[in-house]
Amino acid sequence: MRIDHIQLAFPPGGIDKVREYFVGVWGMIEDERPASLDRREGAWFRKDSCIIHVGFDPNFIPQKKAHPAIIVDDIDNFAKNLLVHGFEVRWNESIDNVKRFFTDDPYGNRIEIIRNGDGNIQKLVN
Amino acid sequence: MKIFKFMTLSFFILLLGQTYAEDKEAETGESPQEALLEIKKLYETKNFTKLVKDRYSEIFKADSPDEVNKVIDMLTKRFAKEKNLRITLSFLNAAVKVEPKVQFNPSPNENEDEHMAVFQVSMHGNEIDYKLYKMKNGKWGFHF
Repeated sequence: MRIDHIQLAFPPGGIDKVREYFVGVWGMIEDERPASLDRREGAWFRKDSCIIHVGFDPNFIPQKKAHPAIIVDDIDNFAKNLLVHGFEVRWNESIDNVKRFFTDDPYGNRIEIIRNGDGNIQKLVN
Repeated sequence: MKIFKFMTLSFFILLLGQTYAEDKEAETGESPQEALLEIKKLYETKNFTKLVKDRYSEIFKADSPDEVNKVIDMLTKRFAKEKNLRITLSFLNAAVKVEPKVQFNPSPNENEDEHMAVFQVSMHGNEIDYKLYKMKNGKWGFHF
C-alpha cells in the first residue's frame, strides 16, 4: 500500500492564494486536472513524487491537528522560503534524530516538514 | 639614497593601488550588509514595488510587466497582515546581525556576477542560509 496523493481543503474563492503558496513558495508545478472535474473548484500540484490536491470546501475549517508530513531535500532552505514569505516555522525536537518543523498553509491547515532521510517511511526501509 | 627612492615609489604605487581598489568598490556599490538593511527597510515600509524591481535578481525571468505586478501584488496582500510581516522581519533581523561570507556563485543568472553573500542565521539550533547575489548593476539581490 502506498499513498498516491493528499488532499487539503480551502475555503471557496481562494485559488489564487493556494497557487501562490504551492507554486510560488513551495516550487511545485500545477498539473492540469481531468476535464470531468472542471465543475468542482480545485487544483492539483506536484513536485518529485509528492502530489497535493486542493479542494474547496464551503464549510471549511482549518485542520489544526490532522496534517500531511512532507519530506524535503533541503529543509533549511525550505524553512527560509517560508520565513521570507511570512509563514511560521515551528521547529519540533520531540523525536530524537528527526529534523522537522510544523507550518501552516495560507488558510491555517497544519503541515509537517521533515528532512530527507528522517521520514518514518525512510527509516523503516533503511 | 636609491633604496629610499625605491621605497618611496613603492609606497606611492601601493597607495595608488589601494585608492583604485576603494574606487572600484565604490563604483560597484554597496556591501551585502548594507543591501540586507535596505531589503529589511523595504519590507518594513511595505515598499514591495521597489523590493521586487530593485532587489529581486530573477525578475528578468518574468514574461511580462503583468507577471512582475502579480508578484508585487502577492507580497502586498501577504504582508498586509502584520503577523506575517513580523515573521519575516524577525528572520531578517537575525540575519543582519550575522557577518556574511562572500563566496563564489557557481551558477549566476544573467543578472548576476560570480559573487554571493551567505548570512548563516542560527534559529533554534538550525543554520538557515539567507543568500544575496551580486548583480551586474552593483547591487545585491535575492532569489525567492
